[in-house]
Amino acid sequence: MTAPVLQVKDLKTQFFTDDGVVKAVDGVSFDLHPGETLGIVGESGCGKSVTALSILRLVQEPGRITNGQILFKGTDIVTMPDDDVRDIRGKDIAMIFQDPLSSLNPVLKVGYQIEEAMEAHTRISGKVALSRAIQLLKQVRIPAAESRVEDYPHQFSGGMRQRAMIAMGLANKPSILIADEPTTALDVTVQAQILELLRDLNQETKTAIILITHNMGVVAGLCKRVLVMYAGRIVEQGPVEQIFHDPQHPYTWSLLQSIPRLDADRKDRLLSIEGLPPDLIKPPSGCRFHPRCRFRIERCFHDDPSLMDVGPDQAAACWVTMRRALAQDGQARA
Amino acid sequence: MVKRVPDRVPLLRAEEVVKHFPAGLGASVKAVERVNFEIYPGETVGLVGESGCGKSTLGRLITQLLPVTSGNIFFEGVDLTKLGGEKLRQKRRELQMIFQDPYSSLNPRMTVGDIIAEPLENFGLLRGRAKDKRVQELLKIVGLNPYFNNRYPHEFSGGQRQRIGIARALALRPKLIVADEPISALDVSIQAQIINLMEDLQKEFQLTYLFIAHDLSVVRHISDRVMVMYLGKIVEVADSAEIYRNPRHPYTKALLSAIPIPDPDIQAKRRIVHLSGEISSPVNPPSGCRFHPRCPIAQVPTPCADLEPPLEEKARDHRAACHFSEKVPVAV
Amino acid sequence: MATAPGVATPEEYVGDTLAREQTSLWADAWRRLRRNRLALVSTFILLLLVVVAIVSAFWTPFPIWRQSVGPTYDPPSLHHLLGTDQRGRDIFSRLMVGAQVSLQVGVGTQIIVAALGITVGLLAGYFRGWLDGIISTIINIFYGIPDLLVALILVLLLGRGLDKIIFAIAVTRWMDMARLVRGQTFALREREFVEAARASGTRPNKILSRHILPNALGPIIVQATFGVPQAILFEAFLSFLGLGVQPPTPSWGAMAADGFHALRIAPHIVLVPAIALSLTLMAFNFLGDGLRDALDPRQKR
Repeated sequence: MTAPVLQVKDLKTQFFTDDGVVKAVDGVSFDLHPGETLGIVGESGCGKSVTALSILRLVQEPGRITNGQILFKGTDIVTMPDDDVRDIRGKDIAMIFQDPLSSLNPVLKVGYQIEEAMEAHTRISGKVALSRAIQLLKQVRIPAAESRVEDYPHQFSGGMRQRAMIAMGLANKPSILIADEPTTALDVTVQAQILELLRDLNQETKTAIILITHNMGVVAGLCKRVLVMYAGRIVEQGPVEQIFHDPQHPYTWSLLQSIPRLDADRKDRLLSIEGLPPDLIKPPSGCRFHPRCRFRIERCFHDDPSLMDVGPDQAAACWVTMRRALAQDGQARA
Repeated sequence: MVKRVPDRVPLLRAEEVVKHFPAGLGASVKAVERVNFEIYPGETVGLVGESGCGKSTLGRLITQLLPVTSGNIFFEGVDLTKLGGEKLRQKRRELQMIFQDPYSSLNPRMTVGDIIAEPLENFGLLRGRAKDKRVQELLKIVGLNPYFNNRYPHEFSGGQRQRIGIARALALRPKLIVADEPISALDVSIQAQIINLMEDLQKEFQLTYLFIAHDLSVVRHISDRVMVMYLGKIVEVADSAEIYRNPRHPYTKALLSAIPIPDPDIQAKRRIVHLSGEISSPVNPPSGCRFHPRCPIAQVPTPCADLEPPLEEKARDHRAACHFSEKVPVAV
Repeated sequence: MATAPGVATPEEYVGDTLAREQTSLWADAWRRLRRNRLALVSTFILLLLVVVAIVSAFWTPFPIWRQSVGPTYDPPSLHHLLGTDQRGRDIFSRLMVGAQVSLQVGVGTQIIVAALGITVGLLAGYFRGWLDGIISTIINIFYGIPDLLVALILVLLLGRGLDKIIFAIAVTRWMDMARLVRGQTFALREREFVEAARASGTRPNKILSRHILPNALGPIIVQATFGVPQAILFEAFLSFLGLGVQPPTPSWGAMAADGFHALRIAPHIVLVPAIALSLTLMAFNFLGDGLRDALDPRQKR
C-alpha cells in the first residue's frame, strides 16, 4: 500500500459565535491515498463542508481549527505559514464548489480565468497557457473548446460552468481535488454527466477526489470509500460496498432506508429518522445520535462510542451495530 | 392506494393552458404551452421536470397565483380563469399550496399561530377561542407541539417550518393541494418525515395532491400518476409504476437513467442516456418536437423537426408525445 | 420512541424541541444595537436632547425673548453658561428652546415623510402597472425641482409658522422614502410568504399591512433616522437665510446667523449653536448606522 497523500488526524474546527462555541468538526481522522475517490456524506451541519474547508485552511471567522493535524505528503497544513498554504491551494489541492456561477468572475473570459489559475503557480507564456486552457476544456468534454475559451461565464450553462471549474481545478495537475456538493445545484441529467466526468478524470489523471455530498446515490456512483458524518463526527467509514450493503451504524442504515429508491418496489411508508439534528453548541451526551436512534440501549445515553472495527476495513461508532440490532429484531419477531 | 376509475369526474381539468411571460423587445418566454391534463379526486399526481421546464409556473397557474395567457382551468366544473376578485378568493378555500422554501414561505414577523390562523380569518370562519383551538389542533395534526403557537418561524428548523406551511394549507380544509417541491430544500432524513406526513394527511382528510418535484424517485414513491414536463409541454403521463417500467418518451428515459441509485453495484452497471446539447431556450423553442435537438432517437427533419407529436394514448392509461415511442428502450 | 409517527399523537411531537430559542426579531435587533457603542452614546445624547427640549417648555435659566438679561456679546461665564448674544439674551436658554425647534422639525417632517412615502411606495410597489408609472413620474418630477426653491415658495405662500416649515421640508424630502418603500415592496411581493398569503385568500390591504409593511419596517426606520438630521439641517439653513421659524422663537440656524456678523469678537454666538447642531446630526447618523446594522437581516447567521 502506498503512503497516504493526505492524513487528517483528530481535526477539530470550532466556530466562536455569540451564542456559544459551535463544535462543527469534532475529532475527525482519515487518510486519503493517491488516486483514491473518497466520499464524505452527511446532512447539512454535520461538518462535512467545514472538514473540506479546514483541509485548505479556508475556514472563515469566527471559525478556527483548534486541534489536530492535516498532513499533506507529511507536512502539517494546520501549522504552515500562510504563504505555503496559498501555494498548496490550487496547485496541489484544488477545490470546486456547489455554485459555479459565484466562483467564476463574470467580467473575465473563461479561458483567461483558467490561464490565471495556472499562472498563479507556474511561469508560462501566454501562448502556452492558452493552448493548455483549450486542452483542459477539451479534457472536461466542452465541445468547440477553441471558441468556447473566449466565452464569458454567463454564456455557459450551469453544467458547462461546473466543467469549467473542474478544468480550472485540474489546471495545475493537483494530487487532490475536493468537490463540495459539485452537482447539488444542477439538474439530474447534468449531474449524471458531471459525475461521469469526475469518474473518467480520476482514472485518466490519477487525481484523488474527495467528494462531499448529502446524496447517497451520488456517492454510490463515484466513490470507492465513504465516510458518513453526523454532528461533527465520523460515525461510520468503509468501502462503498460495505457501507451500502452492510451498514453497521444505525444512522447510515436509517439514511439509506429513508430514501425512496427508483429501483425498489414502492413501499407504503418510508422509514424516517425522527427528531432534529443536534445543536452543536451543546451536543447530546453519550452517542450524539442516541436521541434519534431507534436501536439505542442504555449505554448510548452516557457513553460516547468511538470508531470500532465492524468488518474488513469498516468501522462504526456504535455500541449496538446493525448486525446485532437486526438479529435481535429477528428474534423478537420469531 | 386510491385506484382511478376512468369515468370518474375529474376534480381539476386543464385545457390548452398557455403561459407566456413578456421578455422584452416583443419576445416572450413560453413557459407553459398548450397543456392538457386532469386530476381526479383522491389521487396524487406527480409533476416532474428539470429547472426551467415550467412545472412551478404550471402549479401557480392552477392555484391562480398567476393568470393564464390562454386556456381554461376547470375546478369542479368552474373555470377558474374566468373568475376574478371575490369569487376567485372564495374558491381559494378549496385550493391550497405548499411552497418549496420553508424559510421564505413564512412571514418572519408573524407568530406561527397567526400564520396558521390567517386563512381562517380571511374567510371569517372562526373567532377568538375557537380559532385558537383550531390552530392548536392543526399544529398537533402536523406533529408540532400545539403550545408553540406564539413562537416565531425562525425558532424552528427547516422540516418544522415545512410542517407549519402544511398546517396553513390544511386550515381551510381544501380539496386540492398543490405542493411545489415541498421537500427539495430539506435534509434527507427530514424528507422522509414530510413525505410520510403528507401521505397520512391525504388518507385522513381525503386530499388530492399535485406534487411538483424534480426528483423522479420521490415522485414515483408518492404519486399514483406521473406527468413529465419538458420545455413547457407535458411529454408523458402514466401510472407511476408503469412510467418507470416502460417509459414511452426518450426524455423520461433519460431522466430515469440519470437518477443516482444508492447502490454501488447497480450504479456501476447502469448506463446513462446522454442528451446532446443543452436545454433549448423557452423564448425560441425548437420546431416540431421540442425535444428533438437533444433526442437520441430523433429522425430529423421529418417528422421530428417539423411535426409536433401529440400527447396520445400509447397504451392503456399511458400517454406520450413522441413519434417513435415504441423505440424507447425499456428501463434498466 | 422511534415508531413511525404518522399523524402524531400528543406524545410524539417532532416539534417538541425548538431549533433555536429566541424572542422576536425586534428583540434580536435591540440586542445587536446595544452592543454598538457609538449608537448607544448617540442614543444617550439624543435622549438628553429630548429631556432638554421638554424642560425648556417649562423652564429656562432666563426668559428667552427678553433682551439685555445680561451685557451683549458676553463670553461664557458662571452667570451665563454659554454667554450672551448681540441683544444680550442668554444663549443657553435659547439653545434649550432651539433644541425643541430642531427636534420638532426633524421628527415632524419624518412623520409626514413616512406617512406619504410609505403609502405611495406600497401602492406603487404592490400594484405596479400604470399606478406605478404615474407615481414614479411624480417622484422623478419632484427630484427634478431644486428643493430649496420648493421650500422657499411654500414658506412664502404659507407663512413661517413651525408647522408650515415642517410641511415645506417634508414636501421636498418624501421621495427617498417612497422609492425605498417601493423597492422593498417590489422585492417582498415576490417572496413565497406573500404568495402564500394570496393563495389563502388574504385581501390586498391585509397583505400590505401584515406581510409587506412589517418586513419593510427595518429599512424604513433606518431611512427615517437618517432623514431627521437632513431635515434639521435644512431648517437651520432656511433659518440662517432668515426664512426659517418666525423670530423671536430661537432656531439653531437663526442663532448662528445672528452671530455671524460678530464672528471675530464673539465667536461663541456662532459656535455654540453650530456645535449643538453638529452633535445632534452626528448622533442621528451614528444611530442610523447602528440601526441599519442591527436591523439588517443579512447579519443573521
